[in-house]
Amino acid sequence: MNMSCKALTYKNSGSGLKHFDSGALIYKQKISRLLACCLIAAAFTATTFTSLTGRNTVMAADPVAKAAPAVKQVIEEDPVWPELKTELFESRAINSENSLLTMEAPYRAHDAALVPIVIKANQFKPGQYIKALTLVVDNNPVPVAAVFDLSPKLGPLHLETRIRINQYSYVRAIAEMNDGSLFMVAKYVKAAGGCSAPAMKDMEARIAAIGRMKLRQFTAKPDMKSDEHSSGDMAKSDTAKQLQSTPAQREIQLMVRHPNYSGMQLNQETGYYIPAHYVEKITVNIDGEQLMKVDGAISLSEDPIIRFRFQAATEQPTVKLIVTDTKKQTFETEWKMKSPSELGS
Amino acid sequence: MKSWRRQNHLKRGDLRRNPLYKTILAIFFLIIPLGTLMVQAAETATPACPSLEQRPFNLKQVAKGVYLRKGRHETFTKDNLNAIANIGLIIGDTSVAVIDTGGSFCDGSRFHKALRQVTDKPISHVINTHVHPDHNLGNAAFVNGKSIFIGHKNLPRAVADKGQIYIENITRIVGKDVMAGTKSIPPSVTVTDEMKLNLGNRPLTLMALPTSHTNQDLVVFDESQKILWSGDLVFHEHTPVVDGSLLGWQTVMERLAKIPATHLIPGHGGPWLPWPEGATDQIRYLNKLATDLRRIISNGGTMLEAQKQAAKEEEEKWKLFEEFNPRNASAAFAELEWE
Repeated sequence: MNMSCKALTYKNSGSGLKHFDSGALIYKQKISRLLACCLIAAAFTATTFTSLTGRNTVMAADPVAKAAPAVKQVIEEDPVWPELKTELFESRAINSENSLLTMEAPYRAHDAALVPIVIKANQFKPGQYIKALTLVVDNNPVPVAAVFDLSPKLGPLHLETRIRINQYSYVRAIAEMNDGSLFMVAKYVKAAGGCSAPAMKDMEARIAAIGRMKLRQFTAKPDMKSDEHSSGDMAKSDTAKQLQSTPAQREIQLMVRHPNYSGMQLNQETGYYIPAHYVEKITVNIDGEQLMKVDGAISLSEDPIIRFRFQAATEQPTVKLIVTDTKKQTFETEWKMKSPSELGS
Repeated sequence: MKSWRRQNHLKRGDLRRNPLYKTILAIFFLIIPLGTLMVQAAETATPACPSLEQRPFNLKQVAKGVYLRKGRHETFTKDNLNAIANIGLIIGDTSVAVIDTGGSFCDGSRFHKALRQVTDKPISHVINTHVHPDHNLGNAAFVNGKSIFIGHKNLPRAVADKGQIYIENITRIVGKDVMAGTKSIPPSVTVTDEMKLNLGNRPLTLMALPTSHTNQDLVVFDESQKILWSGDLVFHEHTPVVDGSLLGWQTVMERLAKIPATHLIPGHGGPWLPWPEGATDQIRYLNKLATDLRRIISNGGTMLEAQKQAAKEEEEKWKLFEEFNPRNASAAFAELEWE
């Protein structure tokens, strides 16, 4: 295009004008108008070509780069949450500018069907505790991943679970306090296909093992935050003493084998989606008393896990895990926990 | 127009005779449309799937009657045409066996054309080592009603569950052009334990293995040349990918070591390694991953920590480490937690 315009300019300054005498000026005007038209046309055509070739360049590049502007938009506008918020909490005020809740999540999930999420909360005012914790994945087909009903005996919240994320989304945890106030923490996670991803591992073996349960026990290590506060060995041993004293803080992980079919996984042989079949309810009792009840949905990973800390009233608490799935199958197991000294070795 | 001409004492046709006016008209009515057409033609003249003349396929002979195309250590891109896995063929006296078909119909059909440049014997068998899309999405290029497609007994189920999703996801990344014609095709004959084939003085043993890299791994032992085609049960240079069971894979490696081969053709890397030494790097990686994960788990570590720490020392030794190692760590963490 540039070449032809150059040729035109050359002709304009050269032989073109000598045929005209009286009308030369007018011709100049007429020609300059045509020239302008030509330039506009050229510019238009050039833009079209650039957009054509531009598109090809983007397609050859990293797909993530292509998706980048869209992602930014999602973060800035996030059209889903206001509606979800109204549905879940109506017009109640949610305090999201607080340091009470923290969330750990990978910014980019390595396996969208297995994204670990850790939520922690500090001790609130005396007498105040988290009554319910709602875990939401904004852009999942079923955004509410789980609702945790918590007993005051849980103590400071320290909770981990694994979820599926179907597309780039905010993951939120909303804590409802016993006085009715709401607190929120959110993290953005880049992941895609977590809900529709076919069960990646050996499916038949998974189905055969359905309902198998496991308890893992840990020594509750002080968090980084409490470490920062403690200065020197004295303070550290104080923390250790506090942990050893009764009621002591204990940490456990409860695991259940379950394919947790989301209903979005296609069976190509039949052409039908594998029916949703997932864990609906998880109840945790400690020494015969309910500590936690989880209402789950398809966003929990296959083989769901919950890992958390609680205040134990006894040396060797009894832990009972009861899991019910959407086929109304119930699985339960009871364990006697090790004492902290046994565990320490 | 009329008054304008009269005002300027011009005769009809004066404007038309002006060479400058002609040039401008020419630009409008000839050069711009022609240019547009030419650019469009240039775009369609470079098809998404280039011929072997436009872009060589690099099918190379590695042993007597054995040809291989080494895959690039990359993820799927429009530029690499999904040619990222090792795929090849074995030629017997009477027929040919293809081992894996590539990452798209394009990759497969280019392979088919390259194969026809080295042999004109019929393709009796198309062997799929496992379901992963870089290895078997080229199947459609080998469908002719005569070749037998062979895979592990779990492969039909895996193709049914995952095949279409692989195609959709990869199409999103590389575009429709590169994926044109790509179909997910299950095997017509499956191997439960062991199967023997003969391509004419060229006996092959196919072995189906328990859950390891995936739950449908099949290896081929070319007895006369003592070559083991491991599929993705052995990775070399390219970070190993755990999509089945880490523990199962470690056990399977011990079983493979007993195969009396002298050479190995891995699913990635190589393409030509001594056996069993060729698997040393991978065995070291798997052991390191398992050891690190067990340590993290017994110390009460979390999956997030495992993603960052497990097998970190191996980072410099592998390609595509950041793409696959954290994912391996998550999957294997969830597996080892149940120990």
